[in-house]
Amino acid sequence: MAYRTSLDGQQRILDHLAESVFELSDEEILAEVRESGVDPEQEAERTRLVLRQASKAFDDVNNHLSKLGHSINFHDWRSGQGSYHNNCLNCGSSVSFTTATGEMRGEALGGSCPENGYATKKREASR
Amino acid sequence: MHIPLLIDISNFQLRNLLEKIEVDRAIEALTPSELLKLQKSAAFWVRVRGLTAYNRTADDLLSEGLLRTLIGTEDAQNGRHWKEGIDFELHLKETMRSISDSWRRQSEKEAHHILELPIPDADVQEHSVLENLASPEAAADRSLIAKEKVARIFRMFTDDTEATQVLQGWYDGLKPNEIRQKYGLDEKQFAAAVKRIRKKTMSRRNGSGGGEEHGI
Repeated sequence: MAYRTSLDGQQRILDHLAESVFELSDEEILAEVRESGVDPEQEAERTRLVLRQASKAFDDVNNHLSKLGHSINFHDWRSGQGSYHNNCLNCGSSVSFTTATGEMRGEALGGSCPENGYATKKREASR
Repeated sequence: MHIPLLIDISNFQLRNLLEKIEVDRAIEALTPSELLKLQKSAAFWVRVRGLTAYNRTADDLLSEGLLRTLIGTEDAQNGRHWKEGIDFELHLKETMRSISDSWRRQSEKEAHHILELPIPDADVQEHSVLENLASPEAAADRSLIAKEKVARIFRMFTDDTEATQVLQGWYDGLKPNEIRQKYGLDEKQFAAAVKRIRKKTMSRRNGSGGGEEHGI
C-alpha cells in the first residue's frame, strides 16, 4: 500500500500509539509488563516513588528558600542533566535540586537573602 | 479546651497548599495499572522523540510532568494546570506528551546551535544562529526525518494488511469507525490490528522504552 507522509501524519500515528496504551484493561497492562520479564507490582511502586520524590524535592527546596527569604519565579525552574536550576529574583544567587535524590545545591542555600531582611526580622521578632 | 489556631497565610497561599495536597493524594491514589501505563507512555515518548540521545529518561519525563503540575498550582499563569474533573492519570499523560515535544524542539535547537555556530572571524560579519533555526533547510531536514520515521513504522507491517490499513487510517486522520468502514474491518479485527501495532512498536526489550529494536 502506498502512503503519503507529512509531519502531521506522523504525529497522528504517534498519538494513536500512545493512546492505545491507555485503552488497555488492567489485566492486559499487567500481563504485558509481566511478559517483558518485569514484576508489575514492583515497577508500579517504583513509578509511584519517582512521582513522590519529585513532589517532595520540589516542596523541600521551595520551603528552604522561603525560610531564607529568597524569592524565585516558579516558572523559571529549568531542567537539565537530571537536575533543576533557578535563581533568586532578589540577590541572583543560584539553587538547584535533583528529583531522584532530593539533593539541593547552590549559593542560595548558604544563607538568608541579602536583599531581603524578612528571614532575619522574623527571627528577631520571635526572641 | 478549644484553642483557636491563627495561621499567617493568604487565601492564595491556602489555595496553592490545598492544590498541592490534592496532587500528593492523587499520586497515592494511582492504581498499579495506571502507574504502569504512565511509565510505558513516558518511555514511549522519550524513545520516539529521540530524547535518549540527549540523556533524557522516562523517569525524567514523569518527574517533569509532575513538577510542571506543581508549578501550575503555585502560578496561575505558568506550569500545567490540572483541571477539575480530569483524571490525574490523563492529565499527566497529556502533560508528558506536550513536554516531550517541547524537549524535542529544544534539543533540536541546541544541536543546531552547536552545528551552526559560526567560527569567530573579525573580518567576517557573523550571522545570527537564530537565522539558521528558521532556515528552510532546517525545516526540510525535519520533514525528511519525519518521512523516514513513518516509512519505518509502515515497513514493520509489510506483511500485515490490516495493521497497515489501521496505520494509514491514523495517518490520514480518520476516526476508528471511519477506518473500519473504509477497509471493511469489524471491531475485533480493528482491535486486534491495533494490539499488534502497539505490541510491535512499543515492545519492551532489555529495559528500553520500546520501539528501539525497530528503530522508530
